[in-house]
Parts: sequence; structure tokens; C-alpha cells
Amino acid sequence: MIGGVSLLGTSVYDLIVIGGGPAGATAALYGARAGLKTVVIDKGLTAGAAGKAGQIVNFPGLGPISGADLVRRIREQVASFGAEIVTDKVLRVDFSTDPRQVWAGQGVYRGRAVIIATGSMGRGRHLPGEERLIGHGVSYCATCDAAFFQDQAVAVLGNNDEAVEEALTLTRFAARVYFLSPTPDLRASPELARELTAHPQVEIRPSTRVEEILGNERVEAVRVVSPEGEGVLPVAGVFIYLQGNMPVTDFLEEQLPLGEGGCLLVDENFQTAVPGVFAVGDVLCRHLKQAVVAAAEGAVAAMAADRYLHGRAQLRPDWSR
Amino acid sequence: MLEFKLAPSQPEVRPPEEEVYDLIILGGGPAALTAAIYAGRARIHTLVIAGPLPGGQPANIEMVENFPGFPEGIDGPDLARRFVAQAERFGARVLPDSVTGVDLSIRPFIVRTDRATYRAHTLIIAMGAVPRRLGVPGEDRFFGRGVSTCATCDGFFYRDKRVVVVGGGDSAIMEGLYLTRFAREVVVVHRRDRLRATQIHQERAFANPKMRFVWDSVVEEILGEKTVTGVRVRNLKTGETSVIEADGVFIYIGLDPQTQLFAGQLELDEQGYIVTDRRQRTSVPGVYAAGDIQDPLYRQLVVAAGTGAIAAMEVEKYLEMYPQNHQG
Repeated sequence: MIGGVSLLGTSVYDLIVIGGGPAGATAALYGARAGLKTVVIDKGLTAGAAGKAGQIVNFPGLGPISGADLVRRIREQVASFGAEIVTDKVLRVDFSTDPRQVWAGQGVYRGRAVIIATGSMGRGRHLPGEERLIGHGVSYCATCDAAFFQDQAVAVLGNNDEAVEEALTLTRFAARVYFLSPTPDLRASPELARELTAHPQVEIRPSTRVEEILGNERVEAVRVVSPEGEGVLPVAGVFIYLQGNMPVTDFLEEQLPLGEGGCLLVDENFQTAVPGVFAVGDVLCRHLKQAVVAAAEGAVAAMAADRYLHGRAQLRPDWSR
Repeated sequence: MLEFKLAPSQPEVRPPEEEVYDLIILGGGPAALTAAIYAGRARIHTLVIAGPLPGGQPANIEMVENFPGFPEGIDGPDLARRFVAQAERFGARVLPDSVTGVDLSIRPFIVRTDRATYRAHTLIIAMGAVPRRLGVPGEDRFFGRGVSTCATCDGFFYRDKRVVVVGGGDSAIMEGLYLTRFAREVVVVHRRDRLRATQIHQERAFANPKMRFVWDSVVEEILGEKTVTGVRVRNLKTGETSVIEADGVFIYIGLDPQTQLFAGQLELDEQGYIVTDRRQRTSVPGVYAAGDIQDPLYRQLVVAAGTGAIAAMEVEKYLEMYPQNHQG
């Protein structure tokens, strides 16, 4: 015991990966295959966005597959190359020491390099019905799920650029897109706002709050409140972009510079402001929220971490970021 | 009714198609086909000109172990077939033709193949980079199962074994050093009497007890019945040949990004790779690049696939900005 917490083993890991979704697990896969002593600390198979996702159809080589299955398969692959996967929750970190230290419920992990892949979570408070109907009509990603709503009516909840872009994507599939903005005006760029306003399949309803998502097996309607009163709007899908997703970075306690909304900033090799500490996946600013993109980032970060650990430091990434 | 045609003695050259595609994807590997999956899924009217062997590099690899999602590994040609089938399922038209020329100075862009001419509002270029081969007997037979151009992919298989690395530049030495983590011995065969690699890499290589160097020598044949058992090398100064026993051969004599068709039309770096930004945009608006053709550093299937997905999502945004061009 040191300072009241158990040190997990006496050894130091080469690589600690925080988060075991597509980004983190792929990073661990590449770390383990490079012969790095690697541990993945993860809260559990269905803790992350991918694990909760319904069908993922656009992961190359595998779709359609449930998000939990995809994550399970990558983790099996990681374990087969000798990385440890522990179920634990990271509480805080200390990046000022060498090796770096990661405090979790079961004790302290020490590692020479760290990859943060904690993803982003929905808002703290869900709408009534939201959680129950995730994957059954409730979605946070039109690129992923729009095709399920061919010729149906859907609601988009939000008012920012992301919400508008996603609504425009949905118009290619859905017959009707109700754009429910909590504010009187859109908080989107003028070009996007113009395009949305002019689109014949889109009906914008300003100052409209969704009180509840209704449906038994699947989404059937939303209950809305607007200046005109309360009503029920029948829709087959609800796409939610309220306040964006929250990147999971609270455990960092300001040891890394954060972008707007708490997202992490990285360089072209996915390295943060602290050398040897990398970040990948949905925890990054402006992330595309696609499993294959997250996995690609995990692979790159692990290779960059390997180079960092082996002193091949002057990485000259003509990788053109 | 089925229509039968005799195979033409020369490639049939079709007249230009009237149709203008929203997107033409040039290439048939993981980057190209992932782009096609995303584009097809987004209802973008897409043509993939995949080349004679759709599926790209994985089609040449016996077992792919580092593509995430396949815990038992997957047979390379099988993975390639899955990419193609998935792209077609989402509506992309995949042609096995070869691109012979492009014109990026007019809109819609023009793409010529050995058989026809096509037009599109946007392009994604994902034709890859080809590792140079030795061109010696045994190389083709064992490629992907004993002969490799990727230590990151295959190094893990050579724990406590002996491998030969061919080449003397940075890649050869860095990957040779990487292989010492697994292999019992790494024998570097180089055609000159000194390395071209950066000094620091040379110092590390010379200090590593697992590294051995065979100078002034070229590999003439890769030996083995069912598996690689060694290489026959010839000393260029003495003319003598000898055999080095080895379980694997890693070839690092350079890589050629397939960008000859784009010289003068797109910005290329000094090594000939297409210059892209974080969103896979090239120097010409509406033209994107993905995969190894713009990545001299990482060259991994999953990384290529990720850039293909990003490029397709960018195409989607680009077409939305110019809806007058867009038929979708």
C-alpha cells in the first residue's frame, strides 16, 4: 500500500488505455501486437456509446452487427494478443509523474504512455422514454441510422449546426422531418439555416420542447409543448442533439487543456499537450462518431505511442493532418 | 432473358456515359470500399472503379489479424470480398476496370478507364501505394505467408524465429529494430556497404545484439517448400552466393503511391503522396483522397478504412452545399 491505495502489481505498464470501445480496444490491439505491456480499463461492455448502439451497418467487413457484439469481438481479439482488460472506473489521473498514474476503484495503475478513449455520453438527464427506446427509434446519429426511417416521419431535437446537418441527412430517407428547436431561432450557420428553412420536407417548429417520447416496442410519437400549446406528434424516429454529447473528461481534473464543451484537443498523432498521453474517439472535439473512424484513430495513436516509447520520437507525420 | 456475348479480343471501349455520378471512387481497397459503403448508405449516386482485383491489399494477405472485429483473424481474400459485397449492398456500382486518366480541370470531373469515360461531381482517390517487390523466384508464392512488407502486421508471428529484412533505408532499419522484439535474430540484407537510414537508427541497429548485417548483397531467391526456410543471396562484389536460413522475409525497398495520373493536377508531396488535410480534402475542391495514397506513415487497413469513411462524409457535405449538382 502506498498512501492508502493499493498499487496494482509492482510492474509498470507500457500502455494504459482508458476506455474499451472501438477506439480504445483497437488501440490496445495495436499496442499488444507491438509487444507493449498493455492494460485496458473499462467500465463494462455496454457502458459506452457503441455498446449501447443498436445495429451498426457501416463498419466495413462486419456490418450489420450490434454495437455490443462489435465491441465484444474487438476485446476478444485484444485479449488474444495478451493485453489485460479490467472492469474498473477511472477516478483521477496524475500525468505530472513518470510513469503516469491512473487511479481507479481497485487501485493505481502506472504506465509510461496513456491513451484516453473514454468517449462521450448523453446528457446527464434524459427525456422520459429516451433511454428505454435507444436503438428502437431513438438515435443520436443520422449518418448511422437514417436509412431505417425510409418514407417515415422523424423528429430532430436541437438547434445547432450538428442538428441541422443531421436533419438534412434525414431528408434523403424520411418523408417528413420535424425540426423541434428549443429556442425561437436556430443557433446554426446562416447557410445551413437557410437550407433547412427552404427544404420542402422539413417543418421547423421553434420554441418547442419535447416532454416525453412515447411508444411501447418502438417510438410512436413525441409529446411536445410549444407557444401554441401541448400536443402529440406521431413520428417513427427521434434524433436528439440537445446540448451535444458530453465528452467524458471529468476525471482529468484540468490536467489537459479542454476545448469547448469539455472535449480533448490533440495533434496530428492524437497526442495531447502532455507527451506520451494520447486521446482518440468521441472524447475528441468535432468527432464524427463513427466506429470505424474511432478504430482508425486508436490504431494510429497506439503506433504513435509505440514510437514515443521507443524513442522514435521525430515522428514526421506526412500523415498530412 | 440472358444475353451472351463473346469475349472481345480487345477491351471493349464504350462511349462516354451520359450519366453524371455524384461520386466516383478510384480504387478498390479498404479505403475505397469503406467510402463506398458510407456513400451508398447516404444515397450518393456512386461508381467505384476498383481495378482488376477489387478488395485491394487484403486480397493478397493470407491472414489478417489486426483488423478490429475479427478475434480469430480473417482470411484476406474473404475480408476483401466482404468489403465489396457490403459496398454493393448499399447500392454502389463496383467495376473491375482500371483508371487510365483523369481531368480535374473541368466540371463535372472526367475519369477515363481502359473501357469507357465517366463523369462525376466529386472524386475520392484511394488507389493505394504499392510496396516495391524484389521480383525474385519464391516471392509471389510466399507473399502473405512468410514474405511480408509489413512488420506491424506480421511481426508477432516471428517470436523466437529468425527473419531477413531486405533494404537499408529508414523503413528497413526501423522495422528491423521493431522485429527484434519478437525474433531471435534479424538479418539485414543490403545491396551497399553502408546503410541509408538516419544516423540515430543506424546507431541503435548496430548496438542491438539481435541485428546482423549482410552487406553488398542482394536476395536472388526465397527458398522453401511449404513455408519459407531461407533466402539465397549473392554478394555483388565477389559474385559468391550463399544461403541464409530464415522463417520470414520482410521487404523494405520502397513504396510507390499510385499518383502518376494526378501529377500536375493535384498537390503531391516530395515522395509523390497526395497532400490532404484533416478532412481528406486535396488541393482541388470536390476531390478527396483516402488510404495509403495519402499516408506514407501508418499504412494500416483500419486506418485506411477510417479515412475512407471521413472522405465519404465530406463528399456528402460538399454535395449538400452544391445541391444544383446533386441528383440524390
